[in-house]
Amino acid sequence: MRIYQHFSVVGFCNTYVVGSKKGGEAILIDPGHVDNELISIIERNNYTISSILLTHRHQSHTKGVGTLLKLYKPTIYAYTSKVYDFEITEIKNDTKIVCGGLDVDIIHLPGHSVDSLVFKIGHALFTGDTLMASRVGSTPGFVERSLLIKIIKKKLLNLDDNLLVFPGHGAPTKIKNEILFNPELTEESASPWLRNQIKLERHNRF
Amino acid sequence: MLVKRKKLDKLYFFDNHKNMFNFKTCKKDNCNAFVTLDSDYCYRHSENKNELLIKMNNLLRNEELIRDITFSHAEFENLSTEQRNFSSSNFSFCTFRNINFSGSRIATCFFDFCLFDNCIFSDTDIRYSVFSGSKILNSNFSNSLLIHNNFSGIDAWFCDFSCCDLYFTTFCNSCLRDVNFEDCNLKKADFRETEQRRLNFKYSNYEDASK
Repeated sequence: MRIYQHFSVVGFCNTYVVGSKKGGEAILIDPGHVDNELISIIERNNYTISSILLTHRHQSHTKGVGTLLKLYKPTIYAYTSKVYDFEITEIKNDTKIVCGGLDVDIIHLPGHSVDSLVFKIGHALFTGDTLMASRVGSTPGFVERSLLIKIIKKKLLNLDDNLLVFPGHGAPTKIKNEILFNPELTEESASPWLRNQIKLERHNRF
Repeated sequence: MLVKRKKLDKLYFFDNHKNMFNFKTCKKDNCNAFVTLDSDYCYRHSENKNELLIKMNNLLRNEELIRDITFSHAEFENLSTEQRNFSSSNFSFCTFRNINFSGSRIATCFFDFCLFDNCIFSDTDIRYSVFSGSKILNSNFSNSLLIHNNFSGIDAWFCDFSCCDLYFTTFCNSCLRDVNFEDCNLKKADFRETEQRRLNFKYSNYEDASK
């Protein structure tokens, strides 16, 4: 599996192209903006965009869909049925789909927005605005924030701690790093076992 | 800002040399580390560790492009890897002593929980990379583009980040002592929950950072 990351200068969002090593069908996650560089990534690697996955419907993550529909014929997957006027394949619950020959686990995590989804492809998690390096997504109020932190702990921090996290904005990270160093999730969230493991690991080396 | 503007060919590198290392995990029971250099095991659980280490040292010495490689829990010393391109590689839990990375380009690489002692990263272009949980001692990152990087949870002692562009780089939960951030761009940088002793933010826009 190959993951290509593209930084959209409009909306400052990370867009990801995920496909196989040989080219062919590929998945595009959160097309915030389509420019020559993104098209060049797709075409140089002989990819055809067969699916677009939207983590949520905010403009900075979806504005490029229109341009892509003029070039390719992808199926668009999102939680909500309304993203501009595009035909959407709705995903309502945690489920598994196959896109571009890759298994995609879909996790619904409301909080940043009611339609927020996280995609797990292999050992990579595409978290959109739900979980970023050392921060969680912004929320409209305290209730939503509390809900978001609770659901992140329940659904994401229980996953394999070596999973790579590719967020919608900012640097990549790993689940382990977020458990230990995300100030919004730390303190009570890190399991004593994991903290001990890290301590031991560091103690042995230094 | 004294950060050198990088040439256009670097844009080509960052947009076209990003794949990803092998996601296959080690065959050893209860080990979730990624396998190393087409083996079935991670470096720590490989039987031919010395052989692998020699191979990796040769790669670092001779190859210009280090790409899609996993090599964790290893120790590297006294290497000069100047002007190299590191892309989509995983060096978690490694130790780097006296390594010169100056002038290198590093994209989507994982250096989390590493030890960097006396390393030179000056004039580098590092993007979308993870140094989280690392201990960084006596290292020099000056005059570098360090945008969209994750330095959360680092222990940095006697380090120089002067004249760096640290746009959207996070240092949350870090312990920073005797670190120089003079003349840096700190727009969207994140210093929340950091322990700071003897830091220098002269001529930097510290007010634009989260803290």
